[in-house]
Amino acid sequence: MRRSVVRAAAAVGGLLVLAAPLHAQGYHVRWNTWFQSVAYRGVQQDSILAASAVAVPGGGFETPDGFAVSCPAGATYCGFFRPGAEQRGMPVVSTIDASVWGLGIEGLKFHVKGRVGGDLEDGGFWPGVEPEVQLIEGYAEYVKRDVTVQAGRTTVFSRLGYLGLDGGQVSVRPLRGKLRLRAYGGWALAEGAVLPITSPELNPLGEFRPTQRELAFGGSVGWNLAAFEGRVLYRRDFDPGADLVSGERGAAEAAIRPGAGFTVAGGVEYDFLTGNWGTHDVMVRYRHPGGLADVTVGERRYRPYFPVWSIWGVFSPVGYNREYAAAAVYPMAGLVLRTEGYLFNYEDTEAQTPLGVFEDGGWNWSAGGTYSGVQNFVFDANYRAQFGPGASSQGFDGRVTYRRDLFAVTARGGRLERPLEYRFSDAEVWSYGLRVDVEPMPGIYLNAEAIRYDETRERPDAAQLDWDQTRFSVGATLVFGSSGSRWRGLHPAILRLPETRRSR
Amino acid sequence: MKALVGVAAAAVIAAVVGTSPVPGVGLVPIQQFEHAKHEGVGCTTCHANVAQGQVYPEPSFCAACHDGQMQPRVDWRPPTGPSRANLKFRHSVHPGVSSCDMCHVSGGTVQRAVISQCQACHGIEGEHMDAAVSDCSVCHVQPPAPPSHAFDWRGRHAVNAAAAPEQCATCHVRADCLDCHRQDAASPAGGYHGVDYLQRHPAASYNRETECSSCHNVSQFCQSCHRQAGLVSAGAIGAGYHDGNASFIAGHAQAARQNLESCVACHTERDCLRCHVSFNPHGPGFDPGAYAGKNQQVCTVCHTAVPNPD
Repeated sequence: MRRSVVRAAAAVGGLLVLAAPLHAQGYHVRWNTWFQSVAYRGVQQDSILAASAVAVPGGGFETPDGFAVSCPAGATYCGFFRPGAEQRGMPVVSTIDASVWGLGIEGLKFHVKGRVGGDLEDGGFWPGVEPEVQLIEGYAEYVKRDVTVQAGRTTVFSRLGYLGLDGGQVSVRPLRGKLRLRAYGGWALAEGAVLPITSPELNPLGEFRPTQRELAFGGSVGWNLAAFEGRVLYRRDFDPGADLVSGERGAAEAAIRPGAGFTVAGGVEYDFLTGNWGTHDVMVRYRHPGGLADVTVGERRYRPYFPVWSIWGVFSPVGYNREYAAAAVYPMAGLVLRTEGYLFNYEDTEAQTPLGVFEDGGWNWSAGGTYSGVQNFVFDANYRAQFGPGASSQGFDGRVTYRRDLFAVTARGGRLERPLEYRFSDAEVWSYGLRVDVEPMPGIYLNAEAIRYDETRERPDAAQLDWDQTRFSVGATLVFGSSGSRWRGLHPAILRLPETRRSR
Repeated sequence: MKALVGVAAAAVIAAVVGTSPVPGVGLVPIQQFEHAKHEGVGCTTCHANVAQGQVYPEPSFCAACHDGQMQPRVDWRPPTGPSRANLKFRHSVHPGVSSCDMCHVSGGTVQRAVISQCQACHGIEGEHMDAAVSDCSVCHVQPPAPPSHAFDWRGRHAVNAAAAPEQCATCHVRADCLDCHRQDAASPAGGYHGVDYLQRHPAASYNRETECSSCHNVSQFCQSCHRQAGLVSAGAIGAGYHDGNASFIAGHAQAARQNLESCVACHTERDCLRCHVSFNPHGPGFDPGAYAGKNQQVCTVCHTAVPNPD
């Protein structure tokens, strides 16, 4: 048990709660803590002497106790997997997001978003909770008319990804904001993490990663007009340890709103270092001005990006193209019916072989509806099916929510079929759960949920297993500030809207 | 003569109307209050109870002058119902603002609060509505999600958000993005991915419902869990996880090039190099000259002689 995590979260949060109002004219703090208990059952690798394997009718071999084995020609041993022991993780994560301003210099603000987390089970089973203390953002911001400067640990959001930086960024908005210029630079954090690429948490095996933190620089030029927004972006990564460029990409994107409810948006990326076009997309959306329908059609090409210090890029990953459509109609008050689907196909890998036949495309389709026309109740049901290389699944779920003022209870259930890739013939999961949300006083939100999962994984050998479990979670969110909760002051009718409840 | 008759008639009518006991008859309707015409009347004469949250004066205040004798009677009632604005301003918590002029006068005219004056005191120097650089919640309660966010918006917002981030910034601040785009390891069911996603994620990943690596670092997040579950390469390539397909290793190139990010979730670089130092892994789109011209380091993992960039 890592009680230190709980103590640290409580101490930091309590400090902020007490300290923020004392020293700043303005402050806003959002402090949320989640805890859940989840079980997982994996597999355990094993082997037997090839001579001990037993031939089974219809071909193939298995262990004397019935596990199918893989026996490479001429090998001494045959490999197989046994069902693993049930493992339980109990992650708890506390995140604090705080801003303070009014410290004597107009336009100056300090912002910090940090996280303390850990797994209360000793096995260290749950992913993503190491290290226990993570600084997601922590910067000073100074704004003067058309200029914004941030320094510290900040994040750059763009088509080229979410880049964490220990450095700074400057944005300038001349011509009354119609022109937008941005430049940034600093020591980069790894993609999808708040750790530098040199962290042992990201590279436990010591593979081909940079020995020093990468430097990242970039910028963008954008136009922001009434019916048109456009932007050109550039980013360059540098490995100071090797004294080499490790990434160089550019992108362009635009959104046009010609009116009458139409929006056209899209963009494209280019990798200057490898000479490859990257992800691109374009979509057209129509929203009926009276709110009767919402339709989107689009096309997207996705190509994975790997930095050149890894070997993965030279394996020539190919992209896939996806065509998609989504529609929602609102035929009567409180009712929305929706459907969405896409088809996707991988580009030619130039590696097809009769020794292994793999799908090169797939599809996804879902449909559902929500009805909130009965006072205090919301009914929701969804069906989804998807098929593609390596895996497929289909299932449905539904929920009923009853809400009275500051209290809500939701009952839900679902069924999922998911033949797992290359391992199980069929697997079926039934789930049913109950969730309670309470707002005991303005700015404090509490919830608790329990879900029961009954899962069966079918196989024609002894590796078949049942895996049933109950998951629990509790959460608390505290929002407060010098100007009150972000929700305080809304008209009660707005607070009763389903969208408002969900977006809390 | 006709003019005198007209004036006399008007005077009689005015006198009758002015003393009419019938309420409302002859009142002048007020569409837009003109502060300039009331320059001689101090602010607090009418707005005496503003600190108690009563922004508009009582109609009886108007009648003190507009009694039909000194001034024509007027028909005015304060608006009823909740405010149409999403401001959460209260005069009572601004005791330091000693003069109405500080916020309500600009260019010599009285008007609703001058936003730049609010921002000046609150330390916000950016443009109004430039939410990316200020805290909207200082002055505004944020509205509920608009209809455009109605169904599966979180899964489909990327194109809109990338192409028109200023639209997002109308309501959202950067912290909202980071709630999802930096994974919260302990988020319970019902977060970004929805309930049952732990069960559903293999199919969702293979079917490209989303790209895991957009938010997750596969080494930190995916691989650590797969390792605990026994789903990573343990060195016995060909006899391991892909045992449902006996010839997987012989024909894996297509699957790997299609979905290399999935391979990386379990396999390390050394797993692949065990064979691929001998078997050429390069395929479509690979330009050795591009690598050799800017970063040859990765080439030297397998090649002793690096290709000439020219």
